[in-house]
Amino acid sequence: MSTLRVNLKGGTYDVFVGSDLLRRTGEMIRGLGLGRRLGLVTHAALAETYGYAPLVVASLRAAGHDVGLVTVPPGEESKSLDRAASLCRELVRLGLDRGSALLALGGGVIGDLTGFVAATLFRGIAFLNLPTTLLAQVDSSVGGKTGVNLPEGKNLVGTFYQPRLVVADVLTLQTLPAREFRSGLAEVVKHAMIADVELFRTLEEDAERILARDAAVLQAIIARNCAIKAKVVEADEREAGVRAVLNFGHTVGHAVEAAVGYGRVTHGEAVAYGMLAAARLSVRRGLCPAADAGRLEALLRRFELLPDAHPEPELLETYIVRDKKARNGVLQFVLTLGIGGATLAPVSDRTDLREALHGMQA
Amino acid sequence: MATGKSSVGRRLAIVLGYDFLDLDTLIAAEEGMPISRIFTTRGESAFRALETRMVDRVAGRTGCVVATGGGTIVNPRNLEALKRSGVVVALTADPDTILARIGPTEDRPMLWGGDKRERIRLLLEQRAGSYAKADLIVDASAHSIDYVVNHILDFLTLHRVIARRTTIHLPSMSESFRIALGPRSHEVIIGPGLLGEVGRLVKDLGLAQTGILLTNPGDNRLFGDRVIRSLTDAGFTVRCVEFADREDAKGLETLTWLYRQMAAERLERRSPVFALGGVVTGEMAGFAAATYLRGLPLIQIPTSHIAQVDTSIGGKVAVNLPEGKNLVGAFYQPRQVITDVEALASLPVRDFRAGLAEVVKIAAIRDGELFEYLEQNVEEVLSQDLRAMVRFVRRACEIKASIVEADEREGDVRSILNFGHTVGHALEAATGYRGPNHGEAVAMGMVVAASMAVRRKVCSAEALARLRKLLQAFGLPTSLPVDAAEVLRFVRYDKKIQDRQVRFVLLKEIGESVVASLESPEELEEALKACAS
Repeated sequence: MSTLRVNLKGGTYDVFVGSDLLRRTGEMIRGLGLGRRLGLVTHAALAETYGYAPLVVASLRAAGHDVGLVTVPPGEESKSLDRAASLCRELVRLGLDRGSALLALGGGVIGDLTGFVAATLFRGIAFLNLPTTLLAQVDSSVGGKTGVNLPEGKNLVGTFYQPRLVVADVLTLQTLPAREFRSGLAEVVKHAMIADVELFRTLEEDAERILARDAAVLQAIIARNCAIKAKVVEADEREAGVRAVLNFGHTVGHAVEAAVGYGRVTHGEAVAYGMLAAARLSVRRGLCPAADAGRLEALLRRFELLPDAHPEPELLETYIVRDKKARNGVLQFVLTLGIGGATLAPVSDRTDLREALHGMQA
Repeated sequence: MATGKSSVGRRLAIVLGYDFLDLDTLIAAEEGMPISRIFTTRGESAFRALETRMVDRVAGRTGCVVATGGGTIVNPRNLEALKRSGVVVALTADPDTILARIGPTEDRPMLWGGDKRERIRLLLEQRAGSYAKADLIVDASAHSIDYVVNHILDFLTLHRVIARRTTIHLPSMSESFRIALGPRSHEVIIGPGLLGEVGRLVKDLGLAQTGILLTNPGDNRLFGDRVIRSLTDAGFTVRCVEFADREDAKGLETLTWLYRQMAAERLERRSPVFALGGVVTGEMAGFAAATYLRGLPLIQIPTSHIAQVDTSIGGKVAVNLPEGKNLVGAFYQPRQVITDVEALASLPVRDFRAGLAEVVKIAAIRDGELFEYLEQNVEEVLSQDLRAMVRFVRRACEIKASIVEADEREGDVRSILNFGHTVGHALEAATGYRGPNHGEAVAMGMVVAASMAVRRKVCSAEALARLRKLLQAFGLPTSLPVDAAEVLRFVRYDKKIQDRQVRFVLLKEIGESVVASLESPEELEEALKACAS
């Protein structure tokens, strides 16, 4: 098991990464001084089909806790205000009070939703995150972002709220659908691209074992990713500046999701596309060696993250501009300085961007 | 009668450095009921007798501005008494102006019966002869408060009542202090006339130009234009959104609607949210600001008494669930608090007094000096003298801030703020929220908690007596309207139950308090019985 300590103004907490940790949840929370009554939020498949929730519940009960289990339907639709409200009400009816803690067992949707509920129920109760997807383990479980969607946009409502503990059990990745697993790998590649040459090399060399979901390799990689993410977040807890590099590939990625339609591409595929576009833009700008962009492309292909069909460059540009206009008016991109380095740069001349997008067609 | 006597009088007093006294308010406090009730239960002549007695009392004082009732100087005896000791200024206005200012109120007994406009015209006609005997008559119909104040100042200078012509500069009469909470530190600005200064005050906070003003219909009608105008003058584009400020509307439905208004405005990270209103508005708008885009800069502009002295400080924001009050919320500090004490003058008297209960609470648990100040300035406080209001609002805010600084999230230090609240909440619940209001319930709760402390011998009987006396002087109830068993039943449902123990804040002496656990239900029952009416 790997342990990582995250130090933030909003709280200090440990991230445990390892195999078969869920059945040890009870002992891992022992030192946290939590109340007796706990709420566990998960979705039906994790509770019934794979049996993860019963493992956690049994372990918590063995440690002397009362556990109220609440399931929500899987999928992005659960990240809604209505769902957050009904969750709050259910937890109150289950007898939770301000001394209680709330655990999330699931992917990003469960984590974001449960985190938001924990941040606001009784003005904030202890939150513990047990991410079960690769994306959630390497990305959304560190950083404290919680939130739900509005019809007007994603994540418009939310808070920064740090968990008291994160437990990433790599065994849960075994049951993840292949496409969702690969989608998570895009964020792994992203972290390597912005901050860690070594990790990038490991990904290249161990690609086979990663795709075969070798537990030991995954544990090492996930721990490494959490460390990178934690370092960036520690430097910029409330997302004022440095943290923006975590958006590498996301500007174009969001446009791809919007252009192709949510659900038609995975988040990972969209981000992969966005990273490659950003890398090519960086090469044009003379910031990144062409060879590094080539290595990125090769790795993304290896992980089957690049789609065969390409969205229209003009359509993408429209979405990119609209998205940025909505935020602050200036087009800003995270560009790569070669594998292991990134920077936030304004893109005032759109010719480079247009040509980079067209270059994706080739 | 609705010619602006109180507003003009208050500002005149602060410019002159005088105290401000409001005749009707003092009579109402002394009789423990609103003027309208004195009229209905005892008749006009009884009221006029009380009025003459009060005139004699204030006429004996110097260095004060007195606002009288519209009919006070109709009695020549009153006019003479006032003229002997000072200058009498009559403010008049035409019937339409008066009608517009009083709105649809039933609180003015002289206008009862028949067409209001006609009643006003008739009264003015009847009183014209008396008003003509004043030293100065000012028609306030078409003029601002400051214009009228200046006009009176000119007159006083000309007749050498005052030595030097003073000018009105309200912003310089405001005070501010900083709440130290690390990166969440912020300033609290307290003074008269600040609603028209909001734009200038927030200019250096690094806010985006586009924002949103969240308020309620009542506050919007009274103050919305003034705030929006000052923001527009300072270069902001701020849309005003109204929502009901009732406790039963403080739920997720309203919240969702608010979020969608914020989304429609395309607010971004630095877009300010201005919360203009009382407790419910501040809590609800505050929670929306805390959770939209993971937190927008929030400017609290409290207008009710409890919001000004209590809830605008400390960052507690929340909404209700059907399962209970304030179950969903956050601790979210505003970027600035702008407290215009003149807003309190527009409150119904009962609400103003309810707010005084919280001021007494803060003084009792933490500041003996403030408590003494209140004891010695009962008349100024009740009359809403601006200097007195700045003083006690500021002090109450500072004390609350110091408690919050020591303990931002609810721990033991902060919980002394719950003095009187355990029983207070139970009283509100036991009367189905239709009996005493929050402040009145807290007033009774404090007396119960203090008498429990006396029984435990941690508090002197004298301290309890002082507490009771001050609350009574402010027209607040000190004995229970329901029986002990009923209250006890609801104490058990109080949400501040930790490990099945009810925590109580006990007074040690005036200015000092401790948190203790209830030893047995009997202990509380006895204290409750001792406070039965």
